[in-house]
Amino acid sequence: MGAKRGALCHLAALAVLTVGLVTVLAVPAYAHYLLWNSVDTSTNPPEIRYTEDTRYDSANNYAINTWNNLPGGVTIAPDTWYTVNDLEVRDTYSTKNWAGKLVWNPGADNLWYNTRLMDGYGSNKRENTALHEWGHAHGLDHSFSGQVMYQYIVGTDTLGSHDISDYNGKW
Amino acid sequence: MQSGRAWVSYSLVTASLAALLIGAYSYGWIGPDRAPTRASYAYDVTDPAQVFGDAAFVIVGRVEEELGRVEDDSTAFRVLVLRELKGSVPHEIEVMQDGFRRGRRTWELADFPLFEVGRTYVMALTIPAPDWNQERLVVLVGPLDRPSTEVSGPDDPAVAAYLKAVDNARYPSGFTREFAQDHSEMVQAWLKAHPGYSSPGPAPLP
Repeated sequence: MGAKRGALCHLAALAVLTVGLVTVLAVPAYAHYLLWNSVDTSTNPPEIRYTEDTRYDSANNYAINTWNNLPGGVTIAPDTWYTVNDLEVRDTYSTKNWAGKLVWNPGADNLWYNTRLMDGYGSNKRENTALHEWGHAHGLDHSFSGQVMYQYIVGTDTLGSHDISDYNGKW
Repeated sequence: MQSGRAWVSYSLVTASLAALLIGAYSYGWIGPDRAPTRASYAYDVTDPAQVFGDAAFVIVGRVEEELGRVEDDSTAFRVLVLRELKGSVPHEIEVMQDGFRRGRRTWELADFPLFEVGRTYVMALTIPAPDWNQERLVVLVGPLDRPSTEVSGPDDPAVAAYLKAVDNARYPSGFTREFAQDHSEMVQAWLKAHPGYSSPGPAPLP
């Protein structure tokens, strides 16, 4: 009897895991939202725990503080030994034409800064790049000109009204 | 005692199944076919004049073979060159494009999907980074003025339009003269070391 109950419990646990996976995959895509994000929603409040090894500390921290300063929503904080790492911030030298890139992964996502381009940028463009990629980490997709989530780096280093409304709509 | 042993067995089975599920999910054997990658571009990649101004080479090429995942989360392809629009390259080249496949899942830029074998594309190419495979050219994102850079062949009407864009190529806006100069010197140094290739290099800044 006990063994049977144990089996049922384990089957239930497996079912919960499967349903969880299916739920994650079934998130609908809206106009300016990505299907994925780097946010850990199992915590309260939801958070992005990150590790970083970037020479663009100033721009990266500016982006983190700017997103963190939005009321409510998601908390961004460094990863610790007792938390789960959600995002790794790294630099790479690439001859490609992107300044920053966010790659989703089943483990920690990767946020890349392209040093070839970032080194040639002033602080506005660096901050624009960092804000933009952290926006992707929050699940925001490309949007309009004049917004941080516009897909080209033109030096927009403050969040626009649409950036904020997309963020508020999601978090 | 017996129920305790059964509990341990079930736990082991559950843990194994869970590990299997997570592993299969991580490696792309189950779950979605597509995984997102998003990028912020240095300039307007819908403008062929800027993309071709950044490029060292522009070709029409047919993808002959997918060679697998390489550095920088990219995939290498073997490409047959059908027409040269800017610069000159060997008849057959290898290129690397952002994105990769693992299991049955594809990681790719939403606006610039991975090439497919057997199809023909206009490709804006640049030199590789110094620590990458030096024989493999890098595919720049763009031009995205059309839904795809795929063309029916070297005489596709879009190719004629792109040829004009090559003539009108200009260095992408927003870069300093110093950056453009460094870029040009880097391309010229690479060309010197690779005699099978020639190119006017990136377009000069106005």
